[in-house]
Amino acid sequence: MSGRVPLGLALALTALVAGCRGVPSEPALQDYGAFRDFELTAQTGERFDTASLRGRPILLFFGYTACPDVCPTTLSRLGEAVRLARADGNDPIAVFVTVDPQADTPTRLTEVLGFFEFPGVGLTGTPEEIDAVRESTGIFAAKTPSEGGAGYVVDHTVSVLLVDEAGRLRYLFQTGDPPRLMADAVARLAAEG
Amino acid sequence: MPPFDHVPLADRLALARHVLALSAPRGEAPTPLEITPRFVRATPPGARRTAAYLTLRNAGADDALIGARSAAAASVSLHRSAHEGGVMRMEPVERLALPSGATVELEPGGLHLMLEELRVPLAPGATVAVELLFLNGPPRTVELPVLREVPK
Repeated sequence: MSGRVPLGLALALTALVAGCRGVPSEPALQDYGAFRDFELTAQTGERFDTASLRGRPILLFFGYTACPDVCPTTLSRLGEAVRLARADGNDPIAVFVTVDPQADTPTRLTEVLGFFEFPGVGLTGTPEEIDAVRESTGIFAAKTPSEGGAGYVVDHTVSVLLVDEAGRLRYLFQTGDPPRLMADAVARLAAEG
Repeated sequence: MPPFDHVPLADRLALARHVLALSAPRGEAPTPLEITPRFVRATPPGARRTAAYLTLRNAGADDALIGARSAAAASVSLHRSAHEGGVMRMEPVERLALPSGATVELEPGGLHLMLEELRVPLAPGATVAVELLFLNGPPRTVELPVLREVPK
């Protein structure tokens, strides 16, 4: 009998192996209510409505391209998260919305997002449009003078928003959250069916 | 009057440290302030700004980082990305205290050197020399590799 593995242990091991490839245990998704869709101008210059993304999970980030530290870090992490999630067999899309529409023209967004190999869409608009989107999404931004070259920084909300396939806001990632955690959240959405 | 007698004691000590540091043969005696280069973030075309990261480990007496400059940028300044309630604010840091025994990390999402008005785009594979200025110790130049950030 020494070669036999007890049934309970065998089941537990099977579950463990399945767990490695299956649904991750973290993060615990929330339901923050319906995401308010908006229409802005994409880096292609065409108008783009976030409602057109329904059916796919969205990882949404607000930032600006003149930002030296946090935005490029988050753009890199977001791109990696989408690549990890796609390797898992899921199909999220990343969306970047500028909080500095005067500087971030569609051309500028094309240059910068291309450089980061950003797997998604970059959006800009008139200052009024961006203000309205920020308000409806609950994103803070304030342009603040700075001493050096560009003459300003934009203090802003840096959380990454996860919107599910049905258009509900399901999670807020904090800066520093690793790409794997974001990909795992997308996997948990997929497991909800 | 002997030379330097008009110089206050603290300044004379600083001067002495300066001279000692300058005259110390290369490769001898561990430097009390250890600087470990990390990286400068590579920039997209047309970018005017980027950030530089490194680690400072002070095994000597209390000191402070009070400035930095580089031929790669018109201005280099120390900033902290301060996170509060999901909002990130960039705060200038005039003087970064380096108490004896302290290790201070300049890393993404925290303290960083902001390079502004870049003279050229910084491509991966290049290196950037940054000179660091200290309150007590002599200026130090650190060579930082230009990297695309590896996400973690």
